[in-house]
Amino acid sequence: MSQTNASNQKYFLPRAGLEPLVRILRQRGYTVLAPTRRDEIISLAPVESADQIARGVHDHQDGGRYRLTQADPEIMFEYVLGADSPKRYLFPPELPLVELRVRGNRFVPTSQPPAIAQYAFLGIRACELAAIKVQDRVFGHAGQDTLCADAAEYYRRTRRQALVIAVNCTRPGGTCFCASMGTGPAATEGFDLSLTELRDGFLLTVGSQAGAALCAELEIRAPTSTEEGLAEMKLAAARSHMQRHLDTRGLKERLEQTIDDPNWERVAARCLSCGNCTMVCPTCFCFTVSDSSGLTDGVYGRTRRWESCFSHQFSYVAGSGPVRSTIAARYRHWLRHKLCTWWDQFGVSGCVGCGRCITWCPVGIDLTEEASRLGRHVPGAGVVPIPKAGGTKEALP
Amino acid sequence: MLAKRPIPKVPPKSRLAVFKFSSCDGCQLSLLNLEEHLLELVDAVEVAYFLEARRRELPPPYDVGLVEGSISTPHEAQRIRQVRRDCRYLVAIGACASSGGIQALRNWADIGEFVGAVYPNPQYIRTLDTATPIAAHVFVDFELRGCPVNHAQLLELVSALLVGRRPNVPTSSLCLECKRRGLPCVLVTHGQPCLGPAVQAGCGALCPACNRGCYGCFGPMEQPNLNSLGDRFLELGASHRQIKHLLRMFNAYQEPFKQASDHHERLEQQK
Amino acid sequence: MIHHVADMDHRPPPGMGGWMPVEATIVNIQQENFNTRTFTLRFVDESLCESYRFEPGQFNMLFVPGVGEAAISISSSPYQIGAMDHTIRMVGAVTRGIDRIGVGGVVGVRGPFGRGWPLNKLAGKDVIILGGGIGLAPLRPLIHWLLRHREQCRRVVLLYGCRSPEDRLYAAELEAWSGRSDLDVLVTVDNADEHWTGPVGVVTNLLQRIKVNADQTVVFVCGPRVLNRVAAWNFLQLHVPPAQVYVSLERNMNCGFGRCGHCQYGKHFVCRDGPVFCFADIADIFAKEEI
Repeated sequence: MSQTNASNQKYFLPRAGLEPLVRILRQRGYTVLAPTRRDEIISLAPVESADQIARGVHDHQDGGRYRLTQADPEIMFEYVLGADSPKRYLFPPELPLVELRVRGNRFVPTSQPPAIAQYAFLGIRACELAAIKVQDRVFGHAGQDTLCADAAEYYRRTRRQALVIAVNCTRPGGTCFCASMGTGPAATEGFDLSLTELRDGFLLTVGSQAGAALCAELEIRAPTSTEEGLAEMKLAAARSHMQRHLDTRGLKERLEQTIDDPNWERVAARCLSCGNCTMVCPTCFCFTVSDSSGLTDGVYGRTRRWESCFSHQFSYVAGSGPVRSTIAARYRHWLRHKLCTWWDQFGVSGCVGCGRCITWCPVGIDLTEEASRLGRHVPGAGVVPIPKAGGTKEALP
Repeated sequence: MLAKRPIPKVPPKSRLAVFKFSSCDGCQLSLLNLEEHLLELVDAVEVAYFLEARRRELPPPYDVGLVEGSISTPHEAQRIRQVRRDCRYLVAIGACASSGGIQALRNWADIGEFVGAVYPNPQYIRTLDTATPIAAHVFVDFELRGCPVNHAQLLELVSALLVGRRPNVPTSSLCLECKRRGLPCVLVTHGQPCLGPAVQAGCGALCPACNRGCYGCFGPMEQPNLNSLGDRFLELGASHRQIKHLLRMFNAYQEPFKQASDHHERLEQQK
Repeated sequence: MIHHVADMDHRPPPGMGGWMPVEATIVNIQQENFNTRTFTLRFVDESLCESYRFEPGQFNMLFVPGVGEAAISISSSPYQIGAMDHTIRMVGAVTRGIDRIGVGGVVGVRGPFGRGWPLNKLAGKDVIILGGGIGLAPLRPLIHWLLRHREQCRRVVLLYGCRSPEDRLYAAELEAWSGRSDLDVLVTVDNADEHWTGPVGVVTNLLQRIKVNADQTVVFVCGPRVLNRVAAWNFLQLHVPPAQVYVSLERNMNCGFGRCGHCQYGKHFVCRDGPVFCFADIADIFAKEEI
């Protein structure tokens, strides 16, 4: 999917054109995954009709805080990200890998490899496309690494079949900093189609052959220059309204020198080591394959689950205990991995600026703030005050 | 923290015994509620002693002993020693057995007063001043947390012992389970105090799935940071008193919860 | 700059890179000490016995159905075709599980994984091999390789330390090696018994007994975490260049190919970039705690 050599041709898709788009995708066998409203969050979930896509809401995000409020019911995409990202579907939280029996001196598989779904991601954002590109490198989609070919098969096959219809962000979320990371708010590559929402419809950009083929079946017309100009303005405004920033100049080099930084202890006093940040991060890839057995049937299973480097047992070595036994060490490992050592491992930043780790941290630890403070310690300058999480006072239910 | 001892591989048709101490029987009921797996279970192991389920009692020794309940009477303190001697592998099941349970709330109060208030003839009541977990009395090989214990974890325990696997019972936070399930975080989306970030996983995030905060029936996770979480609850508008009550429930006497609830009690009284 | 270039590049054969381990029969068990045994494995698939190759210092993931996997280094000669050894300390559920399976039973294998000792860095050099306890296991294939290619390097010294004489691994082989003129073997123990006539004390003390030709020496170290650290510093103090000191590290491993994240060590995945590291590549983090 998502070859960038396609035309970048632009069209106007009227608001009513979204329903046929969903219908066509479903007719072609895709499971259409789109942002839906589930309780009080935006959740990426299968939809059967464009009506099920969340609309008319704004999200308000801050450190440790997420709220939805009513907004213009006509407008669809003026919210940004929920906790879910495409990671949930390409790299599922729990995946049975193999099941086997022992017959004599042979292991006999008793299960088929997990079925591969054909996903169409509708309404995912530029930072998520960037995150998919990061995980492509991790799981070897781009063919950099053949060593884990068999083991990453599920990711690679799901990924190959997936179709992406991105939405450009015209209203940034409170914890977004994609502009700093160079990943948004507009998608520039990695999509089949992209949409920028205007009053009466969407400015549609073609990103691939597959996207162009879809266009042939849609009721679209050439955009007016006003529509193109308006879309540009909206994206520029989104960029300038972004509230959080991370200065990435020299960031990797600065973080390389931070192993002994006193700030780790300080953030560890707040960090719960609960692992929420790693679960919602669209690039975090750590997992554990664990073994199981039936009570009487003689079937042995191997299942892969998302794991977090914040778990105390994550680095456990038999006979000598966990390597990273303190919260400070685990936070240090996570943050340095995201912003520093990821470059060494995969040639990209492990952070795409989606801000999920800030929003979904129960105590609202802000990655941008922590990263900007590191490596700047002046001995004797005293401790910088701890920022409060972004919640307002609310009564208990 | 439990001392590490090698995980045994118990033979097929191992003798399983289930013992009850001060408790509500809920964890034993969890065993009976295994439904379709119950038949498989009695196929895999010999249920040698389980008074709640069958009248037949096979004599000790037992390969695996599951102990429900806390130790709260002198008689129980005696009896648990014998149970330990009778069982090769002893597992404390549920919040009472692993932390003292809800009855451990008496540990903060005068038991004599309670007995006097409840019983017309308190002189016949023999009770200890405190309710304590099994591990405070004998060596415990493994623990299953929860009020009550989780079905899947019970099955995992038995199937793990049958092959000699360390039971896959994570000690990390409930949030990992909650997020894997894709549930909306009640703390972040509603500002509701939820103990999830400091509580051991294992229940499958039952309460957050019903849109309410975790009240910690699985007890503290490995290295919980209750100071920071408590500060957050205060910011969300909870009082010291509310936080204290949240911590003083099923696992009140687990050390991290005990310390944190005492801390909030002190602050409550200072006010 | 990566100083570490292995002369061989042995990766899992097709079908051994996935999550389904391949079957191998335990053909022999040798008791090494009170909690350590050497298991000789032979692939059930005969063609795999012929084709399977590894480089000294690499490891396999050994699998017990329903119990799990453990990363265990291969401890036999790379020239021994058809069967391979794994020396295992019984400290976890998987290692005990392998022991329970016993001779004639079947375990699963995935591998070989990781990068081994840099066999192309030895030409014309003195070689010092320093091992502590079970750390001798991943060094044993290296010693076998060196004895086969003895002409490539100058002096070869093996320094080995363990708790007591009964704790020595490969006791008979150590004796045989001691008798060779092309290999200097020095063994020390923490606690001697009445029959012990050799040195007593930590293995790094043995450095006082040998002449270290600093810049002409390549060093290979494998032992517990603390020993690795002390030994590496000792060699650096003797002015052995950091690029000529190699250490094999132990970490929690789950996948074996640098994806699950458990074994991360700074920017490295120990299972993929190690377990053997050149000191120069990890100098910035080697002395740090909790990395």
